[in-house]
Parts: sequence; C-alpha cells; structure tokens
Amino acid sequence: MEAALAHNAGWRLPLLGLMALMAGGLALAGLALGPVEIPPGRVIATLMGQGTPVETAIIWQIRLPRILLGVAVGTALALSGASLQGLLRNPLADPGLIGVTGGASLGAVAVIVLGGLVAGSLPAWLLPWLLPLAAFLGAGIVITFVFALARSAGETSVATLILAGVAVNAIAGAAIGAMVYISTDDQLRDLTFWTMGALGGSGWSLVAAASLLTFATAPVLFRQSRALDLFQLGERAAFHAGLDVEGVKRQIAIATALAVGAVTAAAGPIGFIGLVAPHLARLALGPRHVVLLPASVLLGICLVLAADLAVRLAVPPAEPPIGLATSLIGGPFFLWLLIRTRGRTHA
Amino acid sequence: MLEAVEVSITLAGAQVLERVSLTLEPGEVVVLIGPNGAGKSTLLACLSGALRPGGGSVRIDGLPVAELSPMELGRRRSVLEQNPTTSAPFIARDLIGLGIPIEIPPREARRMVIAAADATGLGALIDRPMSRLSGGEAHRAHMARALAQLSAGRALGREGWLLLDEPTASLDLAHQGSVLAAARRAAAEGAGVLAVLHDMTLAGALADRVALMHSGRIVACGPPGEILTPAVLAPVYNVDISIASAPDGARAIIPKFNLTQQGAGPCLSP
Repeated sequence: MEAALAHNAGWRLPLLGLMALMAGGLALAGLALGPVEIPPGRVIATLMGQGTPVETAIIWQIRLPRILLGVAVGTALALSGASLQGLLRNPLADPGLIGVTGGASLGAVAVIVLGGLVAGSLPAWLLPWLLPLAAFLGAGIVITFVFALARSAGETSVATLILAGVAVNAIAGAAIGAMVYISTDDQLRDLTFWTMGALGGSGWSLVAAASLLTFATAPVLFRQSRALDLFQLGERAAFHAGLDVEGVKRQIAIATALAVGAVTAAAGPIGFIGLVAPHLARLALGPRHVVLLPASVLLGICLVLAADLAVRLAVPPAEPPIGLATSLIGGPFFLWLLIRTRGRTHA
Repeated sequence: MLEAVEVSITLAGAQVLERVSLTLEPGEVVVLIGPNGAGKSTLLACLSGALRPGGGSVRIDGLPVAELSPMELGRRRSVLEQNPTTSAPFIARDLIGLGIPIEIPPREARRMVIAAADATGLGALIDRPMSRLSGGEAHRAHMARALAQLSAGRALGREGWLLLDEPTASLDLAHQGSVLAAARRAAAEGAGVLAVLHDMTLAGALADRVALMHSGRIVACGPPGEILTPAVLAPVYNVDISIASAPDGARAIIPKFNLTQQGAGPCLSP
C-alpha cells in the first residue's frame, strides 16, 4: 500500500481506461470463445441482430447472459469489498469473510429446497425475484448482526467482525448441510451446482434480476467515496469532519446486502473477488475512493470474466465451477496479505 | 458563542463531568488545563457534539448541539483529535482537504489547503504521502486539516470554532510555536479557540483565559496571570510550583519535582 503506481493524478484516467479496455476485451473473448468459436466480427454482427440462427442462439441464450452475470458479479463483489474495507479501515474485510455471502447462500438454498412449498401460492412474476429476495434477507440479517456484535463504545472492532463472520459461516454451513440432507434428488443436483458457483446455467430472468439489483445499488456505493475517505481517519474524526457516520454505515450495509444477495442468488457463492480486486486497485491507483471504487469494479469484472474464461477453456467440454478458480487465486492472496500485515505491525 | 451549561456526564459508571459550565467567545483563546483524568477531553467531546451529556446542555451559536446534523456541526466547528491517525497513505494535500465540504468550489478548496499547510509549516511537504511523514509532521498535517475545515466553514458564513486536543504533543519547540501561532491567527480572524494543553508555560503564552479542571469540575477560570500561580496550581497537581519571568514578560511555570523521594535508586544496580 506504500507506493501506488499512480499517485500522480495524470496517470489515473489512462490507467482506468486501460482497465476498462481489459474488461471489454475479456467480455468479447467470453462471447467469442467456447466449444463453438465465433470470430469477434461475427459476435458483433450477431449482437446487432445479423447473425445466423445458430450464432444467435449461442450468443443470446447462452453466452450473453453469462457475461452479463459475470459483469454483475464482478461489480457487486468488488464494490462491496472496497466499501467494507474502507468502512472498517481494514484490507482484510470481504463480504465472504464476514459471513454476508454465507447468509445470502443460506437464503438462496432455503428457497431452492423449500421454495416448492410456497411457489404454488405466489404470482408468477414474483418467482424470479424469490431467490434474490431470500438471499438479500439472509445477507441483510448477517450484516446487521455482525456489525451490531462488533460495535462497542462507539467504534467497530474488525477482529470481532471477522470472528463473528467465522461463526456465522459455520452456522450457515450447518444449516445448508441440513437443507441438503432433506432435499430431493433433483434439488440436490441443483444445489450441488449452485454451491460451487457458476455463471452459466442461470436463465435470463434471474440474470436480469441480479443485474438490475446490482446496478441499482452501485450508485449508492459510488456516492460514498468522500465518506469512505473520511472513515480512514477513524469514526470519531469522520464525525468531526461533518460526516453522518451511522447513516453512511447503514446505507453501505443495506446496499452491500442487496448487491451481494442478488449476485449470490444467481451465481452461487464466489469467493475472494471482493478481497483481491480492491487490493489490486489500491496498489495501482492509491487510497482515494473516488478512483478506488471505479477501479475496483473494473478489476472485479476483469477477474470474474477471466476466471470464467479459464474454467471454460481448461478441460473442455467439462467445466469446473468458477468458485474453484477464484478460491484458488484468492486463498493464497489472502495468506500473502495476512503475512504482509503481520510483518508491518511487528516491524 | 460556544457554551456548555451545567454539563454532567457519567461514563462506565464513573462521573466524569459534574455540572461544568464554560463559555467561549468569538476571537478568544481559552486553554483547558488540569491533571490526567480531570475530564478535559470529555468536556471537549461534549462541546464538539461527539458525546451527549447526561445532564445540562451544549449550545453552538445559540443552537443546541444535539439538534444539529453532523454536517452542520462540521461547518460550525472543527476539531483536532488527541491522537489523529489515518489508516490510508493519503497524499498530505488530500488529507488536509478531507474536511472541506463539497459545496466549496475545487479552486477555492485548493487555496484553503495550501493556506492551511503554510500556516502549519508544511508547505514543502504537501505532495508527500502521509506514510512518509514523521510523527510530528503527520500531526501538523491533521492540524492543517482542522484549519482548512474551519476556513471552509467560515467561507460558508458560519462563525467558526476550533477545538484542539493537545495540539502540541509530539512537536518540537519550533513547531509548537507554529501550531500555536496558527491557533492565535484563527482567533484573530474571529474564530473562538479552545485548546487542551499540558504544558503550562505554553498555556500562559497562548491563552486569553485559562480554565483549570480537577476531578470533573472547573475549579478556576480567568486570565493566565491569575490562574497560573503556585497558590492555584499546587493543590490541584500535588506538586510544588515556582514561576520564573523572562525580561520580556514571558512567564515559565516550573514544577519542583522531588525525584529521590519516590525511592529512585541507581537504574542499573550491580
């Protein structure tokens, strides 16, 4: 964190542009590559509505929802991660680590297993929203609970927060296990795919619901860039500088729960994006949230799309879950962060 | 006017302030002194609105602090915390500007940042990251942040109050001088300044009035010449005190420690 590559403001826009280009390139590659390769020129033609029926089916029904969901997942997780890290003044905060993803997972699994019991009595338009709604409820309950638990004497303790996250993850894991135990064979297959995380396999309606919720909450979080800068001084000093500390916390908690809930419902629990993306953004562009938040989002999108591309191309036609790929990168990254942080405090 | 009226507060079962009243006028510098645990920082926190007193009231420009939004409070008063820190390596320039509200146009904000940096002797370091500043330089950067916020509030038409909790801790002599001069200048421009200080010689040099706190009460308040005397200070601090005067009228308050009394022996016994 010491030396950002671009403390010089003149480098910020070109670097952001580069990240956007990278994200765009990966999205295009995601549309073009796969069991059936479609050249980029044809991809664009198909998007314009001039593709052959086969191309149209592959792009519009299979690959486009997948890329869109990837963009939503990258945005939601990276933005939530960057906001939580800023709020808590700790680079180790991540929606997965503090249990928010676990809560969202439990909500979603409950709908997959028990949803059949209530689905008959609900109007049809509500059904695609049922999964994100349950995931939001799960995420919202967890984030309220861990924030309340970690708060004492007017300050929030990050150590308590992460330990609370460990406990919540264990409880959610056990409850999910119980759901798996009582599920039918069909539900079990759904669950197994879902819990490993995947961008494919979600229909348009779920993808649309997740994207809509993500892009509706993103502006709420983007608006907090000055507030998150002030949080770096500590909560007392942020209040002295004129910030409604509790109000900002509430807004970030709700927006985070909504966004994480929505993408978790659609793509399953995908770990570590919220940890890795903001960290890389901070290394490249420095600590000011007005550039850190957009850079995190762009890098989050890049990471998710790259991981998705990697699992699709690794052992075709089989497709390992994307959660596996992100954890494979994110786990060691987390350990490296821990060692670095420890080295600094003992220096 | 910034005033505390009969303020009482109990923290964790202990009464920290007991019916404390203090009034601060625009343009004056009041220094709060007293032994550790006397309640100085708590009184400052009540005046800034960070703590809600259990009894009594705090008013800023005639308005109850409890009814003002954090944003409005931020325009009316700025605060230098006791141990200011930042967990992110902001550029000093960015840190100093953090407290300036977004209503101030960027050009104007940049001007305020530079003026505040110059006032605290940081002008040459303004483009360094905070992680490369020494402890004293970082402390002055936070002081500059409070000054910039103060001038922003005044540009928005507010009276302006500056609350400083041990602003000279960790500073060398020259920079103690520059920080106190900046506080004095803020007062000369019409702000009311309240500073918690431990060094009574500094208190005597800076203050229009000195308030002495002891066990949650203000036990004496008045011009430095009346409060900074052995007769007033010695019973509160439990230390013998003598006063030395320099030819130019500056007064030094000198404690007479009896260091052998407390069983101090050789540090390295054979």
